Amino acid sequence: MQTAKKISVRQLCFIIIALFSVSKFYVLPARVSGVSHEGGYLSVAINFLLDFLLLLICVYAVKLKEKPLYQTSIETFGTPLTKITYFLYAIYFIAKAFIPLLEQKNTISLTFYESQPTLLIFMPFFILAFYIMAKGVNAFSRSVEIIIWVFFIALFIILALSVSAGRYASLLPIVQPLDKLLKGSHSSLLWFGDPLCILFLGDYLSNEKGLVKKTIISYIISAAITILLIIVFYAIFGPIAERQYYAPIKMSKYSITLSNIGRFDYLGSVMFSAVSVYGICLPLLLSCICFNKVFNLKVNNLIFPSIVSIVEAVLLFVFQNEIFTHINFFQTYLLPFFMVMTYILPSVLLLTLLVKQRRLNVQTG
Amino acid sequence: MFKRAKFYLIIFAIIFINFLTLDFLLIDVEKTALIVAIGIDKTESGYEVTAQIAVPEATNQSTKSNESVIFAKGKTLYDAVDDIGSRTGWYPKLSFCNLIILGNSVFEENVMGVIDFFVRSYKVEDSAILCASEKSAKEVLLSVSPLDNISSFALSKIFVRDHSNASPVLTTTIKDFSILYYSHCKSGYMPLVKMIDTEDKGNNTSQTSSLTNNSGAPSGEDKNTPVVYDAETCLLFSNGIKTGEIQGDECLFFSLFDKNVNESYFNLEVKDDDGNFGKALIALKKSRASINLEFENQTPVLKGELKIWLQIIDTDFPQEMKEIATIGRLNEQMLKKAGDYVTFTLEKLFETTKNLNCDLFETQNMLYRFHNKKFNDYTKDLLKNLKCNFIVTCQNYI
Amino acid sequence: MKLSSDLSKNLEEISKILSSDDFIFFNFTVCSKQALAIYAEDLSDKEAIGKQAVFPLQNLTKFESFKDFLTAINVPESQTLTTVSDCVDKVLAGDGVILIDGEIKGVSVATKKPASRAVTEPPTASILKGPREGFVENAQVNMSLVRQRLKTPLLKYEKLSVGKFSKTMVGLAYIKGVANDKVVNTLRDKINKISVDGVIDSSYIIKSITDRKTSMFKQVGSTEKPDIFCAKLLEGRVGILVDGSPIALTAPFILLEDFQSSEDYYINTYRANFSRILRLIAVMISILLPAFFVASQLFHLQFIPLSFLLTIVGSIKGIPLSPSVEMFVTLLIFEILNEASIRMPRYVGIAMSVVGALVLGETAVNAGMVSTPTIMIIALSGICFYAVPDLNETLSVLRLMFLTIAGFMGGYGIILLGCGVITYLCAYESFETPYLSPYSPLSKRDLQDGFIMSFYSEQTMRPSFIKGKNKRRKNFANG
Repeated sequence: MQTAKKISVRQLCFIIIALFSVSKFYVLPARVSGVSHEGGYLSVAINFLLDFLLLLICVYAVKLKEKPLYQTSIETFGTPLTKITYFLYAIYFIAKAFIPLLEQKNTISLTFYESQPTLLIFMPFFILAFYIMAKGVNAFSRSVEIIIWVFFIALFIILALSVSAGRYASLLPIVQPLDKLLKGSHSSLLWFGDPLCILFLGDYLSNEKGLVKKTIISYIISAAITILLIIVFYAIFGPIAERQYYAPIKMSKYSITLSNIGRFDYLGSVMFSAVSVYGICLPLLLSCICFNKVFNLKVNNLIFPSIVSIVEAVLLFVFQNEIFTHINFFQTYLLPFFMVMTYILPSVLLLTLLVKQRRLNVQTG
Repeated sequence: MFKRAKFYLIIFAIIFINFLTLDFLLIDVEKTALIVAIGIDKTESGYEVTAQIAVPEATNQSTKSNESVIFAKGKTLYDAVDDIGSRTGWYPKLSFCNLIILGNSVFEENVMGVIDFFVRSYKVEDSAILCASEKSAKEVLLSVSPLDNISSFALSKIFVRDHSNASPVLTTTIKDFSILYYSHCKSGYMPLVKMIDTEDKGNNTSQTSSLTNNSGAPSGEDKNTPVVYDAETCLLFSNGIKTGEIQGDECLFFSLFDKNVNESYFNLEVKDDDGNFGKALIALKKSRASINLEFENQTPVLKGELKIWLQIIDTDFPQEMKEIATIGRLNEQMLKKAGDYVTFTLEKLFETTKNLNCDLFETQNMLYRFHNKKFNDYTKDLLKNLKCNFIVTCQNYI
Repeated sequence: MKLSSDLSKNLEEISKILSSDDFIFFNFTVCSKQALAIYAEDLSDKEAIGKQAVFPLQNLTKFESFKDFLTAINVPESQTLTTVSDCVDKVLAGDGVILIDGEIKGVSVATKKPASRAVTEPPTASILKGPREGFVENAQVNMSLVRQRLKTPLLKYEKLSVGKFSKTMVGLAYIKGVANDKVVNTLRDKINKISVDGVIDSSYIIKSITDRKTSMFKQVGSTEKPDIFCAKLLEGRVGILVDGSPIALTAPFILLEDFQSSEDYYINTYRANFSRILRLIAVMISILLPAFFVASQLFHLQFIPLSFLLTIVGSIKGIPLSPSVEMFVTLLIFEILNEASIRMPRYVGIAMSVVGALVLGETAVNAGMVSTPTIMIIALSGICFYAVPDLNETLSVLRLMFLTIAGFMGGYGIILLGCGVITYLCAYESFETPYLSPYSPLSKRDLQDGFIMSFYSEQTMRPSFIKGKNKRRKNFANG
């Protein structure tokens, strides 16, 4: 059951480090390499800069608001508009979880299983997702404290086995045409916008010092890990990187040690998949939170965890194949919606809060 | 609480029934053909795939593993691989396939037409070694080696890559070949496997019994003759098409630009301090190399700097104890001669590759990466205008 | 019902309740007044009743009031009784009860003579170094073992009675100021609220005081060793001693406790850390190895190195069972052997191991029923299983769950179940203490006694998750 317990800033930092980066390890490196080629990591860095702004917006909004986000929103924009926005965010988070879900499904079925497994194999994921959503933010953030170690071990295994296999000259020239980099950034925007979670998790945050500093440092670590992984990825695959989806499984198999002991690099990939489960569940959890607010339900109800799990399962059933068609569909038709929800609305909220605070300051002299 | 226990019990029962019945497109390990090598030949109607599978001998652990070679045909390579299953009833498991042999018939066209199957497929690891065969790939896989009763395992031994040793065998993998092909240089290389009959016919009887020919083995071949493999010749490719070959020391000295080595050998005609003249085996004990593309008066120059540490290992003429005792030091003349020989070989290699339009030294990639602004101006005629300047410095190891 | 001044009436009432042959009703006179001593033949010390109560009373020269009665007995722990039920309870508890005609009050004399075995090393917690004393079935003896180690007035011991019929004494032990008062109060309330016929063992108490009744994970710590019990009290935990059970309980409980052995604190810290890591690895192997093996064999052959895979393929040739069922059957046989060998007399147990391990295993392989790698995997898992004996019950269920899910859906199932277990454990609290403390929520300070423990001299603080008032242990460095 969801509890009203707080999550610590450290837990938030772990979420940023592990979950924000893991979702970018699978299809993103190949996709961005297809557009920006050797400058792929720069395209990703541009998006990280954009997300860094979002992070600042969200963190300052969390710091400025005196009441929970929903209350603040009602007081500022009125109940109907708030309810509509929250409803849209609930939908947004369901959509946001869908791409990593598809990625995981494809990674598992194409690389782990010898023959294409039946979709039934993925159904227990939704039971787990329901369970995680039902347990609530506190249990989730505590789980991430364990999962972070799994993440680091997996990262160590993957990088240790792959770093030496790369030809880093492939990353040259460093100076790339801006339009190429921007195209790469544009093609990978769907994988970004994670700092928005902080806005919604802000209500559960305990009052600790150093929120801004710690989240910024965590975000830099998260970005550095992702960029490092993409750099190694491109150094290994160079011009054929575009074809190398599911990077963690592909990257580490060239180590000479594996020829003697066997493919223990799979262990790293299995661990990343475990971390990725939580990466998918984070937006689903936030979706539940939004739905609960819209329908004024108590935090510990099981209605929306069930609904969200079922919706996500149905989506997977219907759109199980052709991951890239769906990514392109999202990219072409839903990107404006994503952009508004991810970047514009939080900015509006922050501006309103700033104006409100200034007025208050003027009134109090 | 009892209700909850019942619920858990039902869930467990459902999973357990599935556990016992297991109907999830499961492939039994016993019905799986663990393919360790694939040979590809082109026929008039499409492709012929020869797959070598590893099957253990269950009844007697002391005996060696049997080998089985199976054949399949198809219009495309995927079709042919798929045919393995339908012909034999075994599910082909390709993730253990560590060797891809391309038969001589494949080189008539762009080899990437064949190799891209492995780049596309998730089932074959692109870390598999890629090699070409002087004859058909089928013959290589059907051959009998005294080194291992699975021919591909015996063949793989000569491709074992040791980071500290240079070898005249230039090994490549599907990934490495594809990277070069899809890069700006659009070139590549692949070792050519030659089968050499062994003189010792005494091994024949023990080796032939393990060969199982499921279907369509070439008739009239002397399958009983054990062979050893030689891969010191390397095929060069440009735009996926075979353009020529290099061998021996050319391969060896080229590989020095790929890695720093600790051990390798080459022969040199030398004259020692006592005036003895003959051949000496020189050990290349250590190397440091760099290769760059530079522009001198708007002319592209491939500048290679190579520093090698040498030692005499053996000579075909008698030497004095004093010379043997000095642990194989080369005199100045020998060092110069060695330097000249390496330079000459590299220049010859450069000219060969240039004439074959094969960008073996990846100059196009260097142009793109290090002189990006000049790329568009020079890329078209780079190889044509390219000059080389190899500076080889030889030193005594001790 | 209140005691009457008429002794015959009281005798009638009490004998009606205690109508069993092992209750003795002994009549004697005190200054010409009729008196009655009641006691349970097997529970009470006859000699003590005679010496401490009957003999002084018979020799009494003057009996004017109830005060004279009390003065004559003059035994510590004697209590004044006013009701028939009090008298009955005291007799059932092993005390002697003295009633005198004309008095509406009686007196109980503590003359318990419970059957108790000697203090020996407990079979469940053998160690190479460290104290060898173990708790016995007598709570008084157990408390004396605790008092011997903690000679402080701050060590509090509250006696509570539980069980409608058993009236078992349940003792609550804690160090005042160190233990969390909230936990003490919660435990006291919960124990007082227990409504059962009888408490035969301390495990009955566990089932009644825990919040998650259906959980397979331990929620209360248990130990048979007074040194461990005392160490836990010193950390701020609350202990429970149950009369009739050699197993003492401690709360709150965290999962890490099962990985800690008392010996860790007595031996070299480096070795202790190594042992703790080994235990963690052993637990992982024990749970996951059979599951991974089955999943790899069924779904992910590429996980297994080729040479080993060829050995497996060779060994499973002709085996009629699928890899998952084969593993399940072997595990089942292992569990049966385990169950049988624990219950068997020790000398038969050895024979059983020989039959199980050598005869059954060898012949099963020869007969082509199971493969050698499967036996090896189960054996390895079984050995690892006992590296953390306190987790046995949970591990066996978890292993079966992981095996089932691995056979059903392969590696992905293992990942999902693993995530499920992690989330479950993270959401789990024992008396408001997060079950995975100090790792989740992460507490840097408490990592001093985690899987990698710091030197004992550096462990200057008590675990913060206990939330006791007194946080600092004595600082060793400063004396």
